[in-house]
Order: sequence, then structure tokens, then C-alpha cells
Amino acid sequence: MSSDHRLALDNCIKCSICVSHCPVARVTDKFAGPKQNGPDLERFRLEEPAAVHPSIGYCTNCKGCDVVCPSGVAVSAMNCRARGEYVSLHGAPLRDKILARVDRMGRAARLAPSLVNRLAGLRPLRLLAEKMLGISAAMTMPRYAKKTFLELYKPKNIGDTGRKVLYYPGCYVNYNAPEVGLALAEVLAHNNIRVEVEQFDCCGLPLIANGLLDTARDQAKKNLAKLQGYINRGYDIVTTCPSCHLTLRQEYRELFQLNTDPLHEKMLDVFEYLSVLLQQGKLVTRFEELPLQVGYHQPCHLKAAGCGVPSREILQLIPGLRVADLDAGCCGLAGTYGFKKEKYAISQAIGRNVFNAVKELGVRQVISECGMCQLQIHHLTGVAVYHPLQVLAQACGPGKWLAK
Amino acid sequence: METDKVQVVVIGGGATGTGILRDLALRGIPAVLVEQGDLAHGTSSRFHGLLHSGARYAVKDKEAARECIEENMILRRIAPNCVELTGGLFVQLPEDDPQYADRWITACAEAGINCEEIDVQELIKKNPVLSPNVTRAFKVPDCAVDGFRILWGNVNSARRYGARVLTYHRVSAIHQSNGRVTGVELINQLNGQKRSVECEMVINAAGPWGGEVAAMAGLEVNVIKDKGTLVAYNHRLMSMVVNRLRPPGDGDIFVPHGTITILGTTSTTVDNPGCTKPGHNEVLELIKIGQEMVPELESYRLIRAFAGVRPLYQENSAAGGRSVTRNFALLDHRQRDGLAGMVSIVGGKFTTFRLMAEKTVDLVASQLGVNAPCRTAREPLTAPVSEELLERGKKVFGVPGAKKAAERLGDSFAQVVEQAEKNPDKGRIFCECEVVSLAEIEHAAHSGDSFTLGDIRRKTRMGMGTCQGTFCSYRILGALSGYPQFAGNHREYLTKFLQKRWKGMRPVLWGQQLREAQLSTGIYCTLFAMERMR
Ligand SMILES: Cc1cc2nc3c(=O)[nH]c(=O)nc-3n(C[C@H](O)[C@H](O)[C@H](O)COP(=O)(O)OP(=O)(O)OC[C@H]3O[C@@H](n4cnc5c(N)ncnc54)[C@H](O)[C@@H]3O)c2cc1C
Ligand code: SF4
Ligand code: SF4
Repeated sequence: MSSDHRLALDNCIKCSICVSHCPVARVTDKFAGPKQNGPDLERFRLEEPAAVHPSIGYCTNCKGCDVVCPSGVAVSAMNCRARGEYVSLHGAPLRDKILARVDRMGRAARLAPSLVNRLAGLRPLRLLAEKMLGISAAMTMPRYAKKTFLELYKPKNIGDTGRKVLYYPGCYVNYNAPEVGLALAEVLAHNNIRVEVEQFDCCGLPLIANGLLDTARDQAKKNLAKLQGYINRGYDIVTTCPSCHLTLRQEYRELFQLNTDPLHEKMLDVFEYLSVLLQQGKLVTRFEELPLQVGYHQPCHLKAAGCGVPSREILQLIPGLRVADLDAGCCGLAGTYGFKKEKYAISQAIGRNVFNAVKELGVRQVISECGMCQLQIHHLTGVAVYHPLQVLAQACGPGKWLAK
Repeated sequence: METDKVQVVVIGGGATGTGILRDLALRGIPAVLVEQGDLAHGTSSRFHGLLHSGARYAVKDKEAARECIEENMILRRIAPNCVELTGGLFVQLPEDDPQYADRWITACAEAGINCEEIDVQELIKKNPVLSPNVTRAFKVPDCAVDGFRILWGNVNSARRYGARVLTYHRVSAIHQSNGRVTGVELINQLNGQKRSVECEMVINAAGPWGGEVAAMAGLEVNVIKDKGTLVAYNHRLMSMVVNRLRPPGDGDIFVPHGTITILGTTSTTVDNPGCTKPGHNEVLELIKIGQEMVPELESYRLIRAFAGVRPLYQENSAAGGRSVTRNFALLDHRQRDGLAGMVSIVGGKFTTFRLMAEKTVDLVASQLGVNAPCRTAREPLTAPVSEELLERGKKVFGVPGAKKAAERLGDSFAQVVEQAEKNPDKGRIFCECEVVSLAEIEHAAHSGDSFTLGDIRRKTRMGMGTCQGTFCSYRILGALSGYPQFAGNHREYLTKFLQKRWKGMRPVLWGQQLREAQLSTGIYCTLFAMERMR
């Protein structure tokens, strides 16, 4: 155990602020909460690594506890490690092993994406999956795109600004929402910046969230090595998925003790990247009018990254656009969590706040950076949900970015 | 005044007294133990928790070393739930005399203590908190021992054989006539009532109070009262006991103990056997010395300091502190002072309590004409908890909650699990730092000898973790208010309990423990409108 970790453990003063902010503990008493599962039991795990509360599987890994802790305790990392320990002792259900491999699911769906989408909508089949595998029949499944982002993306010929940008799309954009990646390319092209892409491994977050740490560690090492190569060649790396971003930057270090320092300067959320351009006076701020009122939902992992809401400043530049903050906390889906039969109800109960906020504001469109949040908000409310980049791309030019 | 009659009265509810009670009971000698506070009120809860292998004493006192290793092996066998098989290390630093190590190795071999040299690089890799300057390291069979569990184990075992225990009863006089002890007078410390007990024999096992008790019978027993301070760290710094390989001195042992690590100790002669106030300067001194073995010590969080008084015996000498033998002495006052029916057992160590009890009861039995042999070395203290029951426990209390409760409760664990299975609310964890369930707390409150929150604390460990009772004490009082002993003034109960916790926190109030105290002060002084730390 590193001395950092010991100090983090010692920092907890048992104030329970993390418990009172934990979205799961708020809606169910099946979960012993961040404090008990994290710093409390961590003291016992130093003697007995198996000292994990069976309720550890109820943590959504939203990282709300890390954000609110006044003592800087890495609560969610303790919980992730504990879940890893639990899974290595008791094994993971087949369902979790399947859900954790979003990259493999994506690749498998490549064979016949529309068939997969149709099957995912077939009630009898879903009931069977619920019974056999424990995958909730009620939750809307993510749709697979006809072609992946990497297949669709064609680098444009753009005048050289000297900026080198590599995009880490993440599995969701690649397999399910290539339009987000294309919107990114559009926005950067608007600024005469060419985007490079490359095939990466899944960031590993779904594996981490399901306690499969060994596989996640292997992927982490491969990803870091590849990213390092680009950094060495002078690239900036941009991401559009806050969860991939947080995983690459923070989880790799906290969970696997990998050195992620180089990423700290060179890897940015795309809106952070655009903000830097804006500050340098290099952002092309010629936008078309967009008379729209949208609700904004901040994903938990963006909150945890501690960079505020980088899209806010940029979207303000679009004439006519009004963005209202939903300010409703966690949406409850948490990646693979809300798809699990025994967690579906909890996930929906957490998301109730988001539902209420959308109804109160009366917005018919919502934007949010995280693909999974988008899915949940659509599932909860039925409104259309976009990545903020799609809105920005729409303001950049003629294309049709907001039609779903 | 109530009068009772019993063959033997044992004075002192520490390791020695409870060990004696058990031994008497197993030999069929009717006995009652009287203790002025709760069990473990004296030194037996204010010690380092090291089940010595004897290696520490090997060079200076081979006899003591041999006794330690023998008793160490016996306790592992009869009380596995009280002993943590950590193993121990002796580490040598560059400033330590290398020749001492050679003498020590020979001495260990002579005393029958296994000691094995290990690779220093490997050791540091596994225990990165240790100083990289360690020059040599050896493994010995040291263990951690839980004083509370041993004491309750002794008493529960003795009770099964008909022995009785009176806690919160102080012996105020020892009666005698015609050169024979005839009984003792007791004062109930909770309500002031007096009662007397007629008996044939009195055993003085009052530890550091041994001199005072002997004086009640007009005898002089010279107990040197040697105060030692210890500090408790918030987490396990290492997985093994760590000793310094040099002649025994201050601050040279770390004992990992369940969730915490205890570093100690110091040595100062005091007059008052009840002098258990840890000093701030002693704490700083300990950290300074401890740092030689664990360089980053200052950055780790201390949760409290505490002190105990060693009862050291020297027939007639002015020497004190570490130069006095750690051996015990059994005084037959009939032979020594012409008073029949009284023996005193003084000195010794926690590790050798069973042997001290055996020797004492051998003498007492012979005087009473009983020739049943000692059985305490063979008969287990508690029946082990079955795997099946433990699994059921894990379902209601989680892994550490169930394991720790099973170790503490032994035979009664089944009842506590059943309670929680019947009523899930009872399975709730009330002390979160030490993972103690409401079911276990109610079991302790029910036991008949829990009069205060402190008594429940000693039986369960509630309030002994990181927050030092800030959150569990009011929670538990709320749940226990239906019990007659907790139906009175809650503010008073809380104050009494917390002041004792704060007594231990005060000498270590910096860093995170200071923040903890501020939070605690905020809760009690602001929300509950109570008084400040005293
Ligand atoms: C700082 C420190 C560290 C130590 N570390 C270790 C260690 O690591 N390993 C080890 O083996 N040993 C250790 N020891 C020694 C060991 O703790 C003691 O030798 C042992 O606990 C003594 O037990 P006891 O039962 O004789 O005395 P006690 O536990 O003190 O019991 C005597 C009891 O008698 C009661 N009593 C007194 N007067 C009366 C009266 N008039 N009426 C009724 N009751 C009365 C007291 O309340 C007390 O509870 C340590 C000691 C100290 C001080
Ligand atoms: S982890 Fe942080 S927020 Fe939670 S109890 Fe500890 S100090 Fe408070
Ligand atoms: S990560 Fe989220 S769900 Fe998990 S304990 Fe922390 S706040 Fe609760």
C-alpha cells in the first residue's frame, strides 16, 4: 500500500458528508454507503483483505463522495478496489462479465447492427434475458450505429495550423454515437484543425465498475503507452466522454498506480480545448443563430474531473441559444449499473430528480456530455438528448446535427 | 448488611485475577472474584497487547523468556480467538550494538525461542513503512493478544463451572481473627452499599494495588508502580509485531492490533496505582524514538494515548523501572507473615497470567486440602464458532463485522446472529469505525454486568475506533434507553463516556485527530448544548 493511500485513509474524520450526498444511499438502504464501504472497512482490509461488505456492488462509482469529502479522501477508489477484491474472491456473474466488455459487445454488434437493435426491442427476448442473465427488461438498450465512427470518419484536407490533435473517442461514440465524433471533427474543422483518430482499447471503466480490475489494468497500460506515443510526437489529446477522460487521467493513477502525469497537461475535454483556443483569441467564433432552449445535465464524472462545465462558456457564444441548468444531480444509470435487474429500480429512483427538473423547466431538448446520461434522460423523460458538441456543430454550419 | 459465604475470594479483575478464578472453578473450588471497577479496569486493558515470545527478555532473564514462550504456545492453543498470529520481528539499526544481536541469538536458542534471520531487502519490500537502514532482521513467534477477550473468556469459562463475579465492588477491609483471614468487606461503587463476604482464603491479585490490598490485612508488600505510556495509530502500519534488536528500552515495540497499531512504551515510577494519565511529552518522546524504525511516523494519524501501571515486585529494594525483574512472586502470607488464609500474587506479565494463576491455585488448593490438578492449559477458553454460523453471521453483519463479533463473543455469537436474523434492524452497524452491530451491543447491555457505556465499550470495542465515540455513543444511548441502567440522564452518561475518550485524545490533538475533536465539539457543544472537553 502506498503511503498516499495510508494518508488518505487517515484523513477521514467520519463526518458522513459523503453518505448524505451519495445518490444510492439516498434511495435505498441496501447499500452500506461510501464511508462504511470505503475508509471504515479499509482499516479492516489492512488485516483481512476479504473485509468487504457484500453491498459494495451497489456503489455506482459516480464519484460524488470524492467530490464532497472535505478531507480529500479517495473514497470511490477505495470502493473500486474493494469491489475488485470482492469479485476476485466471489467471482462476477456472467451478466457483469458481458456488460463490462462494452468494446466486445460493440464489435459483436458490428455483424448486424440493425438486427441487434431490433432484437433489443423485442419484449419476449428481453424478458428471457432478464430471467436468464439478470439484465433488466425495462431499461432502454443503447442502439448500435450502422457504421462505427472509425469507419465513418474521413479526415478532411485542411490548411495546416500547426496544431496536432488526436481524438480518443471511447466505445460509446465509436459503436453507438458516431455522430458525436463527427460533430467534433466538424467543430475542429471550423477552426482549421485536423483530427487524427486511432483504434484504442476501451478505457476500462465498465470493467472497473464491475470489479474486473486485472483486465482493466492491462488495457490501462496499453492505452497509456499509445497515448504517450502521441504526446511525445507533440499531439494534444481530446476526449468527448467525461468518463473515459476521468478514467484515463485519474483512475489509472489511483487504482493502478500508473503515471498519468503527462496526460494532465496534454489531454483535455474537447470544450476545455476550445476554451484554451478562445483564451488565446484563436477560436473561430462565427456561429449561426440557433433559437433553441435546452436543458443541461452535468454528468457526475465531469463534476468529479473538477473542471467545471467547460461547454458553458463556449455555448454562450451561440446567438439565440439558451441553456438552463437542470442541476438535478446523478441521473442514476452509471454505465452498466441501471441495466442490472436488481439495480434498475434504484437507478430509476435516483434519476427521478432529473425527470422532475426536465418537467419543471419544460425543455424539450437536453444536452449532456455523457452517452449513458443521454440514454437515461431519454429513457426517463422521452425528450431528445444531445452531446453539446452536436449543438455547437449545428451552429458552425449547414449540416443536420440535431435530427435524431 | 448483606453477608455472603464462599470458600475463596479473589481480589482483582485483571488477567491474573480472572485467570485464578477460572483455575479455581476448573478445580471445583467455590470462589467469587471482586473487582472495584469493570473487568479490565486496571493494567490488563492498559498494556501493549503483545503476547511475548520471550525474545525481548532472552538476554537478561532466561527464566522469564522460557516462561513466555511456553505460555505463548499454550494461549495460542486454548484461546485462538484472543490471539492474532502476527509473528514478530526484531530489527537492528546501524546505531545498535551488533554484538548484542549475537548474544541475543544464543540466548533465544537457549530459551527455546525460534528465531530466524530474514532477508532485509525482502522485508522492506513487504513492509515499506520500515526504515531502509535496517541492518539485520529476525522472525520470532510474537503475537498480538486481546486483553479484553482473554478476561471475558476467563470469566465466562469460570462461570460455567459455578464461579461468581462482582464488578464495581471494592474491597475496603480484610477481616481476620486468631491469625486467620475470615472474610472481606465490600463497598458497591455504584450505590455505596456495603456487604461482607465470609471466606476461608483471600487471594490478592490486585496488580499495582497489591500493596494497598495487603496493607488492609496489615501486611507489607512492596509493589513498584511503574507507569508506561502507549499510543494508538489509526490503522495497521505493519502486519507483524516489530521490536528493536537492542537491550529493552522505551518506544521500541510496535504491535499491530486488529484495526490499530500500538507503539510503546515508557517507564516512570509513580506513587498512585490509578495514575493512568498519558503525558503529552511522553507521547512526543515515543514518536521520536519510534521514528528510528518507522521514519514516516509523524505523518500517520494517532487516535489516542493511554497509560498503564506495571505492578513490579522487588522483595526489598529501591531499584525501579526497567532494571526490576519482570518475573512474578507468589507470597504465602502464612509462611511469610504468619497470617493464614491469604496469598498475594504480584509482578509478572500479561503473557504469563495463566502460569501465575496455576502456581497460585496450586498453593491455595494444597492449603485447602484439594488435590485436583490444574486444567487451564488444556481446556479451551471458548468453543470455536462453527464455519456455518460464521457464514450466517457474514450475511447479517458483513465480513469484518461477523469475524470480529465471533472472536469476541465465542459461544454467545449464535444468539447475536439469531437476533439479527430475526430482526434486520438489530443487524445494523451502530459503531461504524469498529463495525459493531446493535444486536451485539444489546447483548452486552443485557449481560447483567454492563452498568455504563464504558462497560459496553470494553465488551464490544464500540467507541474505540477513529472517531473515538463521537457518533456511536449518542446513537447507542438512543437504542438502549429502554434498559434500566440507561434510562436516566443521558447527558450525564454521554459526558462521562466522552470525557474518558477525550482524556486519551488530548495528548495527541493535532492533524486529523484535532479536526475530529473539533467536529466532536461541534456536535456535542453546539447541537447537544453540552460542556467542553475537560
Ligand atoms: C504500559 C504497559 C505495557 C505492557 N505491555 C505488556 C505486554 O505487551 N505484554 C505483556 O505480557 N505484559 C505487558 N504489560 C504487563 C501487564 O499488562 C501486566 O503485568 C498485567 O496486565 C497485570 O495484570 P493483573 O491482573 O495482575 O493486574 P490488573 O490488570 O491491574 O488487575 C488488578 C485489578 O485489581 C483491581 N483492584 C485493585 N484494588 C482493588 C480493591 N481494593 N478491590 C477490588 N478490586 C481491586 C483493580 O481495579 C484492577 O482491575 C504491560 C504493562 C504496562 C503498564
Ligand atoms: S470520507 Fe470524507 S466525507 Fe466521508 S466521512 Fe470521511 S471525511 Fe467525511
Ligand atoms: S461513488 Fe457514488 S454511489 Fe459510490 S459511494 Fe460514492 S457517492 Fe455513492
